[in-house]
Amino acid sequence: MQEITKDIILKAAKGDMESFKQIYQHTNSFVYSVALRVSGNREDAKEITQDVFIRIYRKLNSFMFQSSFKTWVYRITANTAINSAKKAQRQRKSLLSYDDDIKLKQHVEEKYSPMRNDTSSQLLDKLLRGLDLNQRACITLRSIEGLSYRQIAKALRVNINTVRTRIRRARESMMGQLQERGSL
Amino acid sequence: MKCKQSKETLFMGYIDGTISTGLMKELDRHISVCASCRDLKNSIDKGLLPLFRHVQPELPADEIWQGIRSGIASREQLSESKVFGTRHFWRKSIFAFAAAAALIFIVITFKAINTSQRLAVNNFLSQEGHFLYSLSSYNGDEDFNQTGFGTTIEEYFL
Repeated sequence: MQEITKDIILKAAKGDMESFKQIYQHTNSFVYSVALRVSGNREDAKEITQDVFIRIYRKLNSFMFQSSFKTWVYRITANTAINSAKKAQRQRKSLLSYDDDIKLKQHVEEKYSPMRNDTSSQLLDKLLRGLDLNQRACITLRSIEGLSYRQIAKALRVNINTVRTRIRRARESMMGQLQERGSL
Repeated sequence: MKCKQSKETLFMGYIDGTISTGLMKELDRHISVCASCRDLKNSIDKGLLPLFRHVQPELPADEIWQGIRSGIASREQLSESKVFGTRHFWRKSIFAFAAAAALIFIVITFKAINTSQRLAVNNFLSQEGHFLYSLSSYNGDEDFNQTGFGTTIEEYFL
């Protein structure tokens, strides 16, 4: 994510749409990428991205420059993505009857099984879907977006050791999935 | 280095690419004698590392910016209507309070007027009552003259 000057942030906080568009252009790739990896589908990622930027716009006035703007954006993005994905999971669960649930599991298994023919991006998406949401968020922020463990801990407001544990378990789980499906 | 430490190093520092040269040498030494850790390192090299190396940046569609703009605009309208609603509420409240105060003032005033009028009527009636009582109780005694009716005309006739 590129650096954003204080001047742009202050102008955007006063309601200047051009400045806010600059913030959007600097950060949209990161926000959309995290939203996509955590939610697992483009439609939800689109909604999460919109939600994140509307929140950023609304909260710009309360941004005190005590932490870096990047960390602040990381925090809003990670939390919005995790909460939206949790909400979507709950909604899907409540909508599905038992029979539908079985059909969905079969569908998911079909989607997961032929990993040999997948592109690396598709394979990565499938492996990420096999993780829980917190592990997914941590591994996305670390291994795809390149944030440090400390930055992830700040963004998610958790202990750095919790981040380490989640990332280690996520990697072990991904390795396990690759071995189970014969992709190694 | 033992297997536990070796696996920890492989899953964390090795994948992150933050492992020191000293630790890397120790890891290599262990891997050369441990088949299980060697297999794990090979699996990481073939399976996990290429996945993260080839990730392309994802860019959102142009329509997302339009969605954000319209989302912000609709929220601003909503907050404006809330502010107007709050003002309207206070205006209405002040008006209602004034109306209630005026009503209370009118009721109290009327009650006070009624009370003073009733007192005047009561006084008048009691005076008249006394007068009639004194008339009925007159039996031609001379004492009557002592009591008197208060006016010379009345005294003349009676």
